[in-house]
Amino acid sequence: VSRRETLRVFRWSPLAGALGVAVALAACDSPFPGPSRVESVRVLGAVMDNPIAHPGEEVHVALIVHDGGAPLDAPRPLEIAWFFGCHNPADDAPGNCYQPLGFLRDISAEAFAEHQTNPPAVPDGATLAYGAQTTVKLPDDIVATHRPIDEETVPRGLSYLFFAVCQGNLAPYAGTYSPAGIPITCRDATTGQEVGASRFVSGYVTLRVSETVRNDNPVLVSLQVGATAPSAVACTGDEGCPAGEGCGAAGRCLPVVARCTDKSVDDCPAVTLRPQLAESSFEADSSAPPDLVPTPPETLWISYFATAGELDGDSRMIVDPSEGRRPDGAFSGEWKLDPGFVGEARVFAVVHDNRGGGAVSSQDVLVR
Amino acid sequence: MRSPLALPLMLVGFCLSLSSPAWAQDVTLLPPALEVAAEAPYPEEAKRAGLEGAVELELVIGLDGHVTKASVVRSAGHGFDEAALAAGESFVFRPALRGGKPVVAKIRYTYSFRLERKDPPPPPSEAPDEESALPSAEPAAPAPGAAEATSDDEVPEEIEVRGEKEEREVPVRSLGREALRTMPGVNGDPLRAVTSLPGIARPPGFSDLFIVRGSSPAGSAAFLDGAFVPRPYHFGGLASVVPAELVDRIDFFPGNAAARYGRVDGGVVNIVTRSPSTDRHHAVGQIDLFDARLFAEGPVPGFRSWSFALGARRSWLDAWLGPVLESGGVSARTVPYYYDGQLFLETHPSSTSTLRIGMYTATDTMRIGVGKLADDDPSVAGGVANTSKFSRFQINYSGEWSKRTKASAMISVGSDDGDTRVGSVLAVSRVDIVSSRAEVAHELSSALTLRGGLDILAATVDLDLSVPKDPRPGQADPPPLVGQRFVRFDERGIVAARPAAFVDAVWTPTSALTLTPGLRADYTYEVGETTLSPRLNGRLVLRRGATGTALRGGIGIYRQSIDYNYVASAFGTSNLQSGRSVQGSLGVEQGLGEGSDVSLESFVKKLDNLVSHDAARGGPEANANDGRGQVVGLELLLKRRPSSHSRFAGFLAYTLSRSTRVDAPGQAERLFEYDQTHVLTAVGSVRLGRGFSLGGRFRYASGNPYTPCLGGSLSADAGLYGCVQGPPMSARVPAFAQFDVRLEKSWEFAQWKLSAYLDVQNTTNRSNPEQPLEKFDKSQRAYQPGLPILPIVGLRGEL
Repeated sequence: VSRRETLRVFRWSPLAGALGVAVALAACDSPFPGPSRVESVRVLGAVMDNPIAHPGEEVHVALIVHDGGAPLDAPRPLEIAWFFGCHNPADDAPGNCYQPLGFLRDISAEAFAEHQTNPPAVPDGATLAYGAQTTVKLPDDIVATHRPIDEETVPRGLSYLFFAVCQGNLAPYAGTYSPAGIPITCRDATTGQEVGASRFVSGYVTLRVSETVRNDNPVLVSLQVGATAPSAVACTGDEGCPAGEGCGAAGRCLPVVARCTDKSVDDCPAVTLRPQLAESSFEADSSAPPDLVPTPPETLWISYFATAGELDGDSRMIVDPSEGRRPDGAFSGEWKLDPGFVGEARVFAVVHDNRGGGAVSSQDVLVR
Repeated sequence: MRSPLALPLMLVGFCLSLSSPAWAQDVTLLPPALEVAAEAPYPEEAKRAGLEGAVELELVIGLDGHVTKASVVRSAGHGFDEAALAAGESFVFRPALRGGKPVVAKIRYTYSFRLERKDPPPPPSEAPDEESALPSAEPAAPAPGAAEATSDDEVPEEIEVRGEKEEREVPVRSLGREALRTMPGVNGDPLRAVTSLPGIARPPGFSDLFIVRGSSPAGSAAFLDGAFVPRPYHFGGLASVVPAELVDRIDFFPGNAAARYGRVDGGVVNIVTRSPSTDRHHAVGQIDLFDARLFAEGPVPGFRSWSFALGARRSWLDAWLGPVLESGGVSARTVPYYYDGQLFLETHPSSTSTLRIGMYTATDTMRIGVGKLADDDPSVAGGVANTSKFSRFQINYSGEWSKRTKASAMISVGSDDGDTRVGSVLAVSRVDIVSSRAEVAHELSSALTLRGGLDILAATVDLDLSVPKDPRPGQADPPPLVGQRFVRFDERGIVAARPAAFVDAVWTPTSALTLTPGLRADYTYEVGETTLSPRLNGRLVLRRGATGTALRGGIGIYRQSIDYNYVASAFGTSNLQSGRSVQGSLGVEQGLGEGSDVSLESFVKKLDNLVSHDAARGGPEANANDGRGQVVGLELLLKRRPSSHSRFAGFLAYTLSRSTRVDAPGQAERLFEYDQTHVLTAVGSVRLGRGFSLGGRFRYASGNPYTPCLGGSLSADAGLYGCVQGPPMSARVPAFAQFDVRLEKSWEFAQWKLSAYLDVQNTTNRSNPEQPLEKFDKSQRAYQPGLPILPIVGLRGEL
């Protein structure tokens, strides 16, 4: 057992990957834009009413969806479907749910299309639902049937609630390896051709279950864009809005941000995004092993999104498990507008904790 | 448990306590006779200065008459040493014979350089110019005690014929000091030069992995004079931790290694350091883009029986790389830097023994704040910090107890420290380690030599980890750090011990055939496992001489020590055992005359008992030894050494291979993650005269396989995408191709030598893909490019 061998302890971990990525980034930047710019169909987060539920309880889940491919005032129709019925998969890995959800291949495209009038049949224990929100009931024995983990881990169960968001028509995926994981695809409503990631998002929400532990969602009180808090008063014209605001298309006063007159987005002035969290958001991690004294804080981080411009650092830590709570200004966002852009833009802030909790806030602004 | 030091210390003490008795045996001996003498080119600088000189060489002549080792015993400087050494390495002898059978011989040989004068000769007061002096370099009268290097059979009385270990019966490829230092594209780094040899896959960019004959990187190991080197490279494979000045040669065993090597089923690299000079003090200083180094050697003042070698090196990347990274958008707080140091003391307690005491250390530190990482995972927004260092105190002894008995021993004591932090991930480790080897070789008869010894590795490990739990091989890629459950693992005094014993025999039933049967027994204390690994290698010489032909083959069982993380209490499974491979190889060597030869070798490996992961077993018992694999391949090596007729030297190495794995019973076979179907390296250098030399290296390698992302699956409560994986290892990174050039110019002065070099890596600035990069939603893929054109200018002074 040499150092080389000891270091193998770390090699499999994401640590090695992170080191490699760091080195790689030292050599070059990724050729792809980051996730903060919302230019396509996107799922920005999910909010549950009960991030850690008890066995047998119902959980209400809402997806935060935005179609960045359409103007703010003219959204396109989206098909959203939920697939429930994978509990305690091997290794707690969502990828091990793809096979149990294989029954979706047997549902015809027509059945998907007629789901509102004639819901397709699914196996016992599985649920197929539609819409941006859904409610599912967890099995009574989900904790009892979870394999033992280890002595220091609080017993738990896990269930995965899969979803698919499609700007088109959902249909079963016939091939062996589905790009979505679950055997579902999205077809253009007119041509019937499969569409790409810009119009189709699939994923899952992790439903955590414990007989003893609870978790409250963080509370994102507001998201302030720029120097002043938005008034959000109703208006019919700019004259009805306070100084620094203008009247938006939806008849509400919106903060006004000056357009960027520089040639490069890098040179544009940064607009500060200031999220305000309720104090209740900062919890101890009650899922931690009991012998950890003091109990570590729950990890919190925030992700910013915008329909225009660029964000410097898409995600930021709010509570770091090793460094603790960071001061308010440390997780503010910096938003730079595209040169010459004018019109309405929307900025999102999504707060996550490491136990399924989430909160979202958005703010529209006028760029003039 | 008794101190792990006790046994090795006892062994070393035992070895040192024995005197070396006089040679008493009456052996009928016929010395080697020179059959093919290469002519060394006259050094240009010396020629212009009208200098003459004589270099005394020590040559080890193998059973087939080729020179297996050449070293300078008495230096003449001014380029004479290098020229004589290159020529001496190309000599071909009729091998020495004892009792009518070939034996390995070591001889002294003096190579004289004389300027020939035109008739009439110039006045003595005038220095000869190039037109008036025709240089010649030729074998001259042997130095006192040296062999007459002619084709007759005169027997110098002082000739030494020793029971040198002969490795030619096992597949070994060696690179000498000069070849290591001047290979293009490696910036004079000896270990990086080794990666050009056949059998070694091209390591991924920015990595320090040895991937040999389809084995995992952990399956290969590097040794320094027999002691395991925990980390052969500095950060990212930029430079090896052993400077070129210390290296005499590097022996690379791609497979079927002798019984003395164990715990790995891949390749073995043994770095053999050279003896410090004893004639006078020498010094070397060098600086280039990466680092600056100093090296000094010579007799220890006041202790003439001792000599020393002292080296130190420090990178200065941190002085210039920071601004470069900043300009590229990477917020570099502190960029990588490394340093290392070495001190070796050597003496000869008797005329036939050598004692060496060494201390060496290496440290790497990296701190990078990488803001972009936050895009994917905010938990690493703080960047990456890593410090690792190791240090060793090592004693090596070798001696001849009699004409027929030779012994060597090594003990190495030291520690390895690591401190790595990536966001919430913490990994602090300290390993106090002792390794020891003791080996005795006894020549029972002229046809049979027995060798046996002990190989001990013991350590105590302290770990303080905060890492994400799981996953292990076979699992899907882990999700981002931020959403994972971390495990804190703080454990001190973990004891690991892996003693081994080995024995083999070198049996030469006829002058043409050498067989080496061997057996190795390993014990792993942590899992209570004992293994036996029988091995057999053989070499049959079909024809001798410069155009000789030999066949070589081997078969044996090799064990891959169990990775510690698989059995550590916090992560692993307690009843795992080491992996096993059955290796076979068969090859042919063909001399082509004039210092050229070619070898072709096929190999096959059957791997089993590999650690696999089966989620259905669940929890800490999810690992089992039911993975298996197979590697088949073909290696070609064509070499050309410099000779009097050609100033060109180089080699062509090609490997064709396929390495596959089956992770668990019932699963489909997949490609090994570092499988490279084709690996081609062509290296050549030519002396242009006037102190100029020009070299080039071309490399081509198939891209590594990887498991493609078919798409992305969003973890909506974490806000992060995971990869939906396609068939395992069903895609490949595009092929790698690179051409490197090295131009060097040397100036020789009366007391010192100055060299300037330009080492240009990736001369064509080809954008070589290194690994796939995915868009955040896994909907698009690109490849991370490797290094662009990288010119490295350096200066080197030798005193």
